[in-house]
Amino acid sequence: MPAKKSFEQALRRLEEITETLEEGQASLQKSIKLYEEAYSLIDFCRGELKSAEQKIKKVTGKSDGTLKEEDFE
Amino acid sequence: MEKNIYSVSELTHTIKNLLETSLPTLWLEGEVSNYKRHYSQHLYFSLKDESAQLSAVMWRSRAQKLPFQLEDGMRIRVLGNVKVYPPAGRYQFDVLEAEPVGTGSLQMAFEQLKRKLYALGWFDEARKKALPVFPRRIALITSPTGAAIRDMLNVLKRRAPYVDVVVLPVAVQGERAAGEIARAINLCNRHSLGDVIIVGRGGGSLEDLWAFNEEKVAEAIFHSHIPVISAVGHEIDYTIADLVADMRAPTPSAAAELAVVDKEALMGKLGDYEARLRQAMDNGLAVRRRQIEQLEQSHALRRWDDQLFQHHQYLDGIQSRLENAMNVKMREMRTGLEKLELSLRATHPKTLMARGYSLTLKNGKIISSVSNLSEGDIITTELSDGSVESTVTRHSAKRIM
Repeated sequence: MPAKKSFEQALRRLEEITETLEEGQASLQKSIKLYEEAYSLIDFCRGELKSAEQKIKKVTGKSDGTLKEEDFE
Repeated sequence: MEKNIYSVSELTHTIKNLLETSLPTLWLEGEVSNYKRHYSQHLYFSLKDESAQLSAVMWRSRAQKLPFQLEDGMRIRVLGNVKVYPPAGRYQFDVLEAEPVGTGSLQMAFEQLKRKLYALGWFDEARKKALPVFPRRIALITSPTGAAIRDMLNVLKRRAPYVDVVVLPVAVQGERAAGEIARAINLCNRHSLGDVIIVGRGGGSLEDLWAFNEEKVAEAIFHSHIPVISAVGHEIDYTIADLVADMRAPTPSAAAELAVVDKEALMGKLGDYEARLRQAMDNGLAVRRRQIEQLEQSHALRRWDDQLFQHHQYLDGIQSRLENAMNVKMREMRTGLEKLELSLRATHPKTLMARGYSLTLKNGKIISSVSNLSEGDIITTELSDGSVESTVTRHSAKRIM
């Protein structure tokens, strides 16, 4: 059950690109590249928000140090 | 009459019986002094007032249930019995329970632990961890059956269906609560069960919430690598857990709201990015378009145009001059040629013959010297309009002309 992290990275990258484009210093070619990247990030984020379905697990520690995991009813 | 002689033991035991049976279990009030906690965890101290003092002891089994710490100078009320200790010939007060005067035991304990942890720097804002901006998994440490868990799950479902939830069920009141809460916090850290931990319960009395004022819970929160939000009901102002936690929420639902970013807000944020990006791109393109237009109309470019035109003109000029020059040259050459032709023509034999010169041949060869001729040779003389054949009769080196 690895934690999902990439959304946060995507948001951070999105902020970075937006600021770069707003500064207006990048070349046209570079701007277009960044713009395309930003749009794919937005699509990715929207997809994540739409598709994600909340999983609720109940976790308890067992005496041998391992975890017992079950669905939370 | 025989003297009635007691042994020391007999007298001491008589005193012990008298004291221990005639004095019931009683409440006693006094000021603590000479307080010592023995390594065996028994507590030894004196209780005194203006004119008297009394030794007191609280055995380990009782002392463990005492929520607060005794301190020298503290006014307390103790419940217990007078006990005589024969080997030392001493009497002392055997304490069953103790409570501070003027405040509750729990309140006292709270104040003491707060003071201690404050001194350790555990409440410093500077050492508190920032909550993750965008957590993807929330660990809830609470009772699996209370209203608190339902409230939190409702908020998380509504606001952030994109986060996963891990519930670590614990008792949130009673003797086992603090230990279970502390263990669950440690478990979360050991197995990285969430990006943020919410530990809490609904409201209750100070006694109900007591686990959240215990040192082991404070310790687990303090040592957690994962940020902790405390969410203990609002009956009292703060618990120790609230003070140590990285973030304090007044209720469990508030904690859930603090922990996650609202889905709608995120969608809005993405929309904002989209608008800003488009705007930035439009601006960038507009700026470039303007630059191109300005360039087109610029003096430099126009002058350059002029220059180009001038270059063309110059080249055209050069070309016609060249052509002229060539024509002149050609004409000169043609005239020269014509002259040459004329002079050439003037020296042609036929021209000469027309003027009276003739050509002498012998056997088809031009004879240019009399020495090549002998008497009797037949020679042909070419004239302008024909030829004659003659026989040489005489030849001389003497010229006629």
